[in-house]
Amino acid sequence: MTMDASRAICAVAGVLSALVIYTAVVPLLPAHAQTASGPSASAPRGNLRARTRKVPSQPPIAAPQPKPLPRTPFTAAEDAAAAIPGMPDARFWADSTDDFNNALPSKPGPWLILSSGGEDGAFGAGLLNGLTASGKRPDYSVVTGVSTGALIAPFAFAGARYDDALRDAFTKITSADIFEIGATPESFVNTWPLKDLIAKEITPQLIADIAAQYRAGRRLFVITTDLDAERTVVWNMGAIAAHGGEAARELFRNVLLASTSIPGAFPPTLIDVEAGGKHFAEMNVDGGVGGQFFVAPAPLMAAASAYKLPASELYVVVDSGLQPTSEVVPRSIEAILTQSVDMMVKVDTRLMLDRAYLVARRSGIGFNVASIPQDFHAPSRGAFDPDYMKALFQAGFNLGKSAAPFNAVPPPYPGPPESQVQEPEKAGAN
Amino acid sequence: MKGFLRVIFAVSVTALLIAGASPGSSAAPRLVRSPLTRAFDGLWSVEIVTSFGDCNNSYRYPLRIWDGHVMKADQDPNYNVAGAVGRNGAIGVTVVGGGQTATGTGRLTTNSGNGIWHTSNGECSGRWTAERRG
Repeated sequence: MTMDASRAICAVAGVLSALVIYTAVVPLLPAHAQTASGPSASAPRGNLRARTRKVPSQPPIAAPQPKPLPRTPFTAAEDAAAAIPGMPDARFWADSTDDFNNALPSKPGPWLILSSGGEDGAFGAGLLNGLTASGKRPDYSVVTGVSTGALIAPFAFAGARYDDALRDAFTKITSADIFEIGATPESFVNTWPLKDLIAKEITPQLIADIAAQYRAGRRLFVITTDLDAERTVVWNMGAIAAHGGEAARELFRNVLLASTSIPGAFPPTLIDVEAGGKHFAEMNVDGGVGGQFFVAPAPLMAAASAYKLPASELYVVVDSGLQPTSEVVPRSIEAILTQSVDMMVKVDTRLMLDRAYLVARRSGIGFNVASIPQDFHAPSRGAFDPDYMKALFQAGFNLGKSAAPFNAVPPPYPGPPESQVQEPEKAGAN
Repeated sequence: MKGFLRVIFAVSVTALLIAGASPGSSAAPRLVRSPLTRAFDGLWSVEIVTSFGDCNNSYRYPLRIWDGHVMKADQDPNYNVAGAVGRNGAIGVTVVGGGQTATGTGRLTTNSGNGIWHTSNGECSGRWTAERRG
């Protein structure tokens, strides 16, 4: 699809968004109530004094229409050369093999790869807690995280002493801790609650502990997408932490927010950079745009590459189910988009697992993958339902504590539902 | 993950009206017996939690109080919020949209507030908390 075509579709989608909202709710409501009730129908009619006052329909400050948000223009060359002021080692492009190799630990060790998955990150949080409980959790020499995996990664990297904090972060939150309903010029919802949550959970002590581990040779990478450049960015979180100071802590937290910023749904995160003395901001969004998890730069992961991972073992935690969830899709925009993106994420994740498996094999190291068990089923009352997340955390914990938390090969590709598979009659066969 | 996607794509006014409808009711202003006040004017964020019923577990949405009157803080034409805050902080709000109505009552203090809510058909009920955002 061309970019012009994408823009046209997205523009139409934006215009339709209000319609989506309306059509989503009207069918659920009583027929007698489906005649729109305007402001007059629900205007306050309270105390005597209130009745005598003019009821405003809109406060004056709510009247202005949204204007396009300003951006400082920059060239592709400037973006390619841009760096974080005072922290040149804070990040590198994910397609830069040299930068990647230079950032790695000097000694091989186990790598932990944490995928995207939204509220299903509760599975990964539970798995890590379970691994600790069973005494089978190593100090990973490299930890990478994408989206919800990025939120798990700092705790996973810092070690078991942060297990309780990790558990609470994925079992004691609700959607109100993640977003506020109400569109911004850049998104369907506002994520100031998530920004506040990250500021609360990613404490100065946690950042200091990550800095210490970085100095000891371990590496924590978080993935975002530079939407301006259409390139994936690897953030060297340990290096950022090691810089110390408020600017480093703010950048650390902003990178985590950016990695979870689902484009269109959540506002992008603008990160200040500098190139050749020029200051501008890059638009960073969810790392999952470039892939559901990150092991190494794509050129090194390529089937034709001979690159061997300098790891002793590869562990991939997939915070999502990989099996199709069959359902009769309602004929509505949001239902069609939901089912489509859900399928795309699963397909992308499954294909990436194959790639990671093959790279591990050619590197001569063990491949280990854990994903949400097929038999896990729990009701969910909306996004980030704490009861659902607690159940998923427990499923992850149980798996982590079990004798075999990981599989040595990717799960089989989903086939057609068994109930629908019928062996054809072999008429005439002898 | 799928539940999350569904919400993102729907940006569910169902949430606003059923869960979110929390602080609201056409009868609510009658509960505000003290004179209205501007002391609580500003932007507020309200967290709605469902304690009973098959509604979304929790949502947060913005409200604006202006001249003692409660109204929505965004420009979505598909729902409406109306309510009032009394001098003693007592608040009553009605949320109407797409035909659904919900009622919320409670009390605000300088920078926070809390109360209860229910849908007009009794399908769901719960509690709400609010914090001042500006």
